[in-house]
Amino acid sequence: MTIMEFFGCTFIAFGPPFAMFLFTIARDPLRVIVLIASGFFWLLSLLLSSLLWFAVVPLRDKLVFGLVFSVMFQEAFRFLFYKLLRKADDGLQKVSQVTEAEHVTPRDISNKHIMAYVSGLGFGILSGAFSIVNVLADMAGPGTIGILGDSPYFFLASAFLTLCFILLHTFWGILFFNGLDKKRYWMIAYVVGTHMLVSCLTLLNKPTQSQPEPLYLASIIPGYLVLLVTGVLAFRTAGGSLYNIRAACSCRKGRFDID
Amino acid sequence: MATHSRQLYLLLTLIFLLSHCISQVRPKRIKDMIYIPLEAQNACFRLLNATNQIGCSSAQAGNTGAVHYMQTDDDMDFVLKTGTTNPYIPILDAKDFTTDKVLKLAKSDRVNGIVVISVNLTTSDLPNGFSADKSCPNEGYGNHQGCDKKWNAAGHGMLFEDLDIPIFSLTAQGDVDKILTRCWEPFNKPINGKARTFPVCAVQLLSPMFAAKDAETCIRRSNLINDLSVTIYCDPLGDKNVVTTLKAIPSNETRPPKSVIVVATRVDSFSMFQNEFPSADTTVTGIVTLLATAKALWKLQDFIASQKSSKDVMFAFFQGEAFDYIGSSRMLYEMKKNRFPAATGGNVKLQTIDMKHIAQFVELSQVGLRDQDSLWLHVDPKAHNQTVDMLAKLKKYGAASNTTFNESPVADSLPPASLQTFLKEAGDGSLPSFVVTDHKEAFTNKFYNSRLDVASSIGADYPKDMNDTNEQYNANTTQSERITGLATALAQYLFWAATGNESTPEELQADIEDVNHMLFCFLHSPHCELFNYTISPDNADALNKNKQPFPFYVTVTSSTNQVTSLIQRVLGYFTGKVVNGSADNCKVTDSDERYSYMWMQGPMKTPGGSREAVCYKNTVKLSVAESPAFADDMEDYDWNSRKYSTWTESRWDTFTIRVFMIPSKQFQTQVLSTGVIFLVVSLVFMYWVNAKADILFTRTGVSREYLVNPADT
Amino acid sequence: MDLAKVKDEDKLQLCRKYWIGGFVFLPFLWFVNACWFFNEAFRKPAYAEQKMIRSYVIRSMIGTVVWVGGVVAWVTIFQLKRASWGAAGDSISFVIPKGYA
Repeated sequence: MTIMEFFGCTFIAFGPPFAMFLFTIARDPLRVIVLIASGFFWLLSLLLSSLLWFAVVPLRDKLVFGLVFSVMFQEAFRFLFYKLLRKADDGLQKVSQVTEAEHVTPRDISNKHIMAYVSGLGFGILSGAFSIVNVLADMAGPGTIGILGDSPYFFLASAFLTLCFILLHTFWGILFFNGLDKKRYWMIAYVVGTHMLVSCLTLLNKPTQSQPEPLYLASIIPGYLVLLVTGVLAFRTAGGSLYNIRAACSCRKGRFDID
Repeated sequence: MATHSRQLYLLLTLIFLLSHCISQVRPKRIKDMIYIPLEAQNACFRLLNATNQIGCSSAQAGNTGAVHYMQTDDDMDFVLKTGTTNPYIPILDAKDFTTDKVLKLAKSDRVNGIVVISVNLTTSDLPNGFSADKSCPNEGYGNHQGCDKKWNAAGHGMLFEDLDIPIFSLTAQGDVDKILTRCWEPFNKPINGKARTFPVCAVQLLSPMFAAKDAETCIRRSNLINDLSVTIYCDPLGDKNVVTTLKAIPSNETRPPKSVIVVATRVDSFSMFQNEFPSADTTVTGIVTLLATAKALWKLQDFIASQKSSKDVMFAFFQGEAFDYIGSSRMLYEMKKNRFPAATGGNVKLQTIDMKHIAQFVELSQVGLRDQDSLWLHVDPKAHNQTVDMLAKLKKYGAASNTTFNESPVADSLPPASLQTFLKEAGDGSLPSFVVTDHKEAFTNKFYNSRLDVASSIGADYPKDMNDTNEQYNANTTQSERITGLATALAQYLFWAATGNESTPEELQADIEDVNHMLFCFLHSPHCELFNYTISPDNADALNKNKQPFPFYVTVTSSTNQVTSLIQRVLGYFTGKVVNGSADNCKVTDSDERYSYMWMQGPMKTPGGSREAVCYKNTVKLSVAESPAFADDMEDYDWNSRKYSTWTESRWDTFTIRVFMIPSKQFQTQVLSTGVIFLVVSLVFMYWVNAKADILFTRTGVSREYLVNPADT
Repeated sequence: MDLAKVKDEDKLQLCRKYWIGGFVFLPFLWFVNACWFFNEAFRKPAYAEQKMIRSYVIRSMIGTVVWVGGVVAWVTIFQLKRASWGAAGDSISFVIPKGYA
């Protein structure tokens, strides 16, 4: 991996999450804390997955086994984090009280989608970091992949897949939390289902005996299709609509209308 | 806010700890999919003297270039001019690794390094010879100024060029396969004469040197403590000389002037690459001859020592001579300071030796490849008259042991030899001396100071069908017969020179078995009976781990070379007497510092069985062989005086060589620009989303729970 | 500190302290002074102390420029000439690069 490829892939995988962090999270200490806490919960799920992988010796080289359980652990910890957040509502409200007017509830608390989004992004950033940092760390040298016959698009595919997962986690967070709040359990089923689906698709990236060329597109295209559907769902759940987009696009005039 | 940051800190610590735990269980690194590492550690490195840096160095981050295997002259043109996947790192066969080609490549901006294939080296590949040394070795540091005779015709001074690119030598077939069959052939080799385009296979050579400019600079920097720590940039070259005296005159007796006969040879050589210093003819022939001579002469040690009027004989093995006579110049320096041989204490020491004590100086140089089947005696022209008798006697004893000596016709110059150091000091013709060599005029050894100076080139190899190491160890070779003859003649000559007795006792014969053993041990495998017998039990494991012959390069002063130690042990074994002792008391007990005691593994009790260690008492000493320029008591040495050797070796961290693919510039640019576009677009998009969040995420009829408070904080 | 809440005479005192402080080899104080009081000196409606503040700000700017110029010149000269200064160059270097003269 050359230095140009290194930065290219880093920007692809982390450019959009960085922009999201910069404009929506960074200025608000409460959101930063929730982001990191949710990231921590994702780490705990990873720890549990790796413990399981470590303990079950005979299945260590079966990637599927680790993957399925890892997805289940991640979703379980998403649920735990949801429970924690709801328990911590009062505390968070006090902490984020900046004005003296007690009766005004801060927007972060009143609009539950915001915290769902933040914790989803926290899950995404951490999972993204762990899935690509190993790759990025070994990229720093002068060479690129390929002398053993691997596809030259390995790094690009990794970067795009990582981005896909970061965004998916964000949207999944919104859907999952809303599903629990509103008791719309199909949303939770959708989240777990698509998570499992997209994760299993990445197994196609591993070359096998019968299929020596990895099918990167076979995981990336469905991955991004799921991302599109999930994104639209999440957008609608959070209160978005085509009308709103049109309103937002029509610039100042629309804004005055709403006001 | 204090509590916030506290929580944050705690979380971060936990995350760090966790991620650390997890990173421990990493099965396969991406690195292993990108790089194929090679094993070669044989890189050319940097040496520095008072005025120059020579040798090779990569950039600190290593040098990378597309692999190109040089087979025809067209390849030269391709690499230097027409190829489009530059920079290149050409792969050369040993026969193409010549000074003019290497310099031509090294000077080009399109060449980032060189790899040379040194597998299965045979000297027939290089009919014109190869020597990394100059045509005038040690020019300017001998008795004669300037280069009055090109002794080393095969030498074009490749090592003495500041090449400024890394050069690696591949000695393992596995490495050659990796670079040729897994890198060059599938990715870079032209198909039907058509050159390949990116992605191509490249090799990275990492051999960055610490030191630069010259010895004065790197030594000075090594002594500075600028950034609160000491970084050593270079170390002086040097090691130990091995010496022994026959009569062991104690310090309470006087040593008459002109009473010591010095018999010397040189131990070290060099070549272009780390780990490849075979030195068969360059020095091994001389070392083995001198050791065999010592064993023969010491049979009569008691007789010679008992005669009051006899002369003392000193055997000296000089280290560092290949780099402007380090060992001999230091010995002379110690002599002038009246502290040679050095003693650490004790009531009785060896009586010191000085220039004025030296009666004559006999040196063995390269003696393996005899020109016209004769050995050639080179005499200092100014001392010619005093040596007539000496030469006549040597010829006489030679004739009796099938060894022909002739005087070299070169009348006005001596070949490079340690003797030059002493002649420079002795002044006009006052030191009767000669150098025994195998060359009438220029060297017959076409591989002087090079990695091709191997056993087969001096006829010390074994028949192809002889594979048993035991058989090889005891086998007579043409070279061992020659060396035995020479050693016998020399021992008899020394007996005459020491005692004045012309009739030689019958036992004064060198033993061909010893010569066979030594040639095998020094040139084929150090894992041999002679070395195992003489080595201390503590070092036996270290010895037997080595399957390759020990290198003859002098290296830096910090530790004693294996070769030096082995010469010391073998000489101690050949010239010592067995005394009763155990591991604990095999040492100086009676404060008589004249003697050394060596605890040796000794003979095997049964063949292949355990050994019975023995204690040998002898007069073998090590004396320091570091250039006087770096001596502790040298003050304000003028670096440009060219009086003493100033060679230092740069330090380095690691030698690494690996092959991998490099993508085209176009592909890299595409990836980078995709990344930048993603970043910029998402920055703009998120800015917009954030600014319009109130509009985007508002829905009429939203439930109370999700109501956005219009009284926005 | 919000300058809008500071009394005019205190502003002058503050600006003066920064200007004096810069003399003890702290050019960064001058730089901060120049940036921080720029609005007070040049863009606020006139008030009694403004003249002196302006003077300090201008002096701080000049000091900053002189320092930056001096440092840049020294760094350039040092980087270009260090090797040729030999022993003197080595003795004033904190980090001596490996592999270069």
